[in-house]
Amino acid sequence: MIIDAARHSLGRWLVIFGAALVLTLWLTRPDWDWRYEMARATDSAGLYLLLMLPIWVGVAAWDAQQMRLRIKSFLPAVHQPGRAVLYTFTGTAFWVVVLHTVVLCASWVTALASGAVGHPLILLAIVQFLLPVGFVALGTTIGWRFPTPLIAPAVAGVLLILNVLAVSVTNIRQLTGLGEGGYDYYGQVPSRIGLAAQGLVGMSLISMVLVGSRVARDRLSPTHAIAGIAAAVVAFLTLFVITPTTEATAASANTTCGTQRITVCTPAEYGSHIDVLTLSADEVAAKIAEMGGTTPDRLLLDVPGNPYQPGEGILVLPPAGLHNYRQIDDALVAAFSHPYSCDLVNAPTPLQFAVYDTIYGLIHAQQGTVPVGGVPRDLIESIAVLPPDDVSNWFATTTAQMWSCELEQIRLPDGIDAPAWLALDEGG
Amino acid sequence: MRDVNLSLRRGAVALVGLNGAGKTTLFNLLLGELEPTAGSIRVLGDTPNSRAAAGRAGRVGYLPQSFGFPPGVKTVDFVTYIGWLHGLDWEVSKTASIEVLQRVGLETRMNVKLGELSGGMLRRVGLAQSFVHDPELVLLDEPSSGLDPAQRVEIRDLVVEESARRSFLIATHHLDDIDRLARQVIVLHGGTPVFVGTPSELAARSTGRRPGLSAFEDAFLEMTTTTSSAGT
Repeated sequence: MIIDAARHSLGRWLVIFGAALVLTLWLTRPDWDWRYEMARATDSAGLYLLLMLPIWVGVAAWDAQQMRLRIKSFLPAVHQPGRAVLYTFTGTAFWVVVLHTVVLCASWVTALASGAVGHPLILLAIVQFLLPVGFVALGTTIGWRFPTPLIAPAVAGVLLILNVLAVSVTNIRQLTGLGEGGYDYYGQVPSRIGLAAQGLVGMSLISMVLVGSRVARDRLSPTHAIAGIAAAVVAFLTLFVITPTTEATAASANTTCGTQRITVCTPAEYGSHIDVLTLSADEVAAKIAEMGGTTPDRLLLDVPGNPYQPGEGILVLPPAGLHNYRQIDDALVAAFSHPYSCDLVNAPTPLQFAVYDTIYGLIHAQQGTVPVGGVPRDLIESIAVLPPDDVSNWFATTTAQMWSCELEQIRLPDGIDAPAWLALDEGG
Repeated sequence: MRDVNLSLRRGAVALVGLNGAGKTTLFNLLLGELEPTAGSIRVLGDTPNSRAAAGRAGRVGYLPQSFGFPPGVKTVDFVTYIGWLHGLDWEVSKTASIEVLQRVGLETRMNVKLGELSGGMLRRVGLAQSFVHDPELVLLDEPSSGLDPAQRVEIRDLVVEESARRSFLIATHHLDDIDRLARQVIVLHGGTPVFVGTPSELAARSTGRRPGLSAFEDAFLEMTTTTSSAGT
């Protein structure tokens, strides 16, 4: 029945449209990384949902009103007219499930591969299904109840406006989940209450059709239809009243650590990266040791709300490097040369930045690699001509100061004058 | 309608009357689409639209006078769908659909989309859907409306053949068909039955005052004109 229903649904054409939309989103927003971050992946799907929900509602309404008009003369004699609503709903919902499986499967694969089964992020994925299918139910009900061709564009337009308003002027933006694409989602999990509220909306809408179909067995009366729509409205109003949020909270409890010389800690979802990070970190630390410097013994992938305090010998690795394996080594060099954990409490001065960048450049020079970020070449060239022992001593002292967060004591090597550009920055 | 007191026999019953005589209204009453303002109706022992009727799936079939159809749907899928709406399981309905489509001579058109069928074929599809769920009673509202003479005869013969299996109430304007079609004839006029009897009894009411007309036509016009005159 499902396949037959799906074959007659207008929704079949939207699989092509939806796939094109996903491809477009993928190509035009490369910073929406689908490979590693479940929350961000589903967050990316938010824009997709914002656009697609009104389309699905319109398609469902169109299918329903078309079917109602075409079979209405047969309905008086049939025993279960509610099945006609169910048939239309099933046909459109089938394609919604197919399309959303395509959209979210990348996220699922990642989540499953990282052992995140049972994690709230899976719940998030379920909600991403319930909402579209729920809105198909809404469209089906409206289209069946008001069988006019104008109902499809009308209901789709109204929902699009409501979506935009919801995203821009209310705090139910999580309903569509438009995100900033920043790092804030790393290691975070969505609010269970917010997800539950979203699930409630989806389930309410789906139930509306299922119950409505049952009611229609004894003829679908206007009273029942109005009651069903009222139930859906109440579900939406509930969202406004209880102001749920899916804003992520820190998942520090899920931190996983490696056991090598440099201990690398990541959120559990990134556990598969620990070996690669540890290997690279050990290589960088070895080069720093060759230069006489010191390194912290623990490396923590940046997690908002992490339980560690600056100055505890922790090196915080910004997660940007994970987006591109080719940049992991450079990201680690940057992490070992820039004490971000101390920056959380001490605003660095231009001199401190100049020292960090100089060390960053010197490590790359020691490794024979090319820095991705900018380096103060004039300072590095000046230091290169100093006696090796002087450079080594300065390097050891400075790195020790960095990892103990004694940043105010950081200086350039003796005999090196601050360049003019640094003086200008200091003056400014 | 008023003063309606009918008890229909099993088999095929023809319902004839002028336009506006109340044929479609009577069908709507029998289907439960309209509620009687006085009196009661029982179809196969149940009040239409009652809980008892709702609990007994598929006892009545119906072919509307004019009907729409989803043009992109295959013939067999459409009949299956209607059978499913009558309460059959999908697969059971599909099997039944194939069987009834064969009975109405559409075995080669099962996988053709409805939009590609001729008017006569669509009427046969309509007939097939009306008894796909094996009902005890089928209501046919002008089943040969819009058909050419050959197609009309085909539909009539199908109904005659099928009436061995179930009862039919057939609203029709084709008086020439009723002796072949029905065991009982009801003539409606002004919302009231003015004749209930066998086709031969109807023919016997002919006065022969209208040359060139068949006995049925003459009797029918005699009743409806006389009654109309009497009414005025």
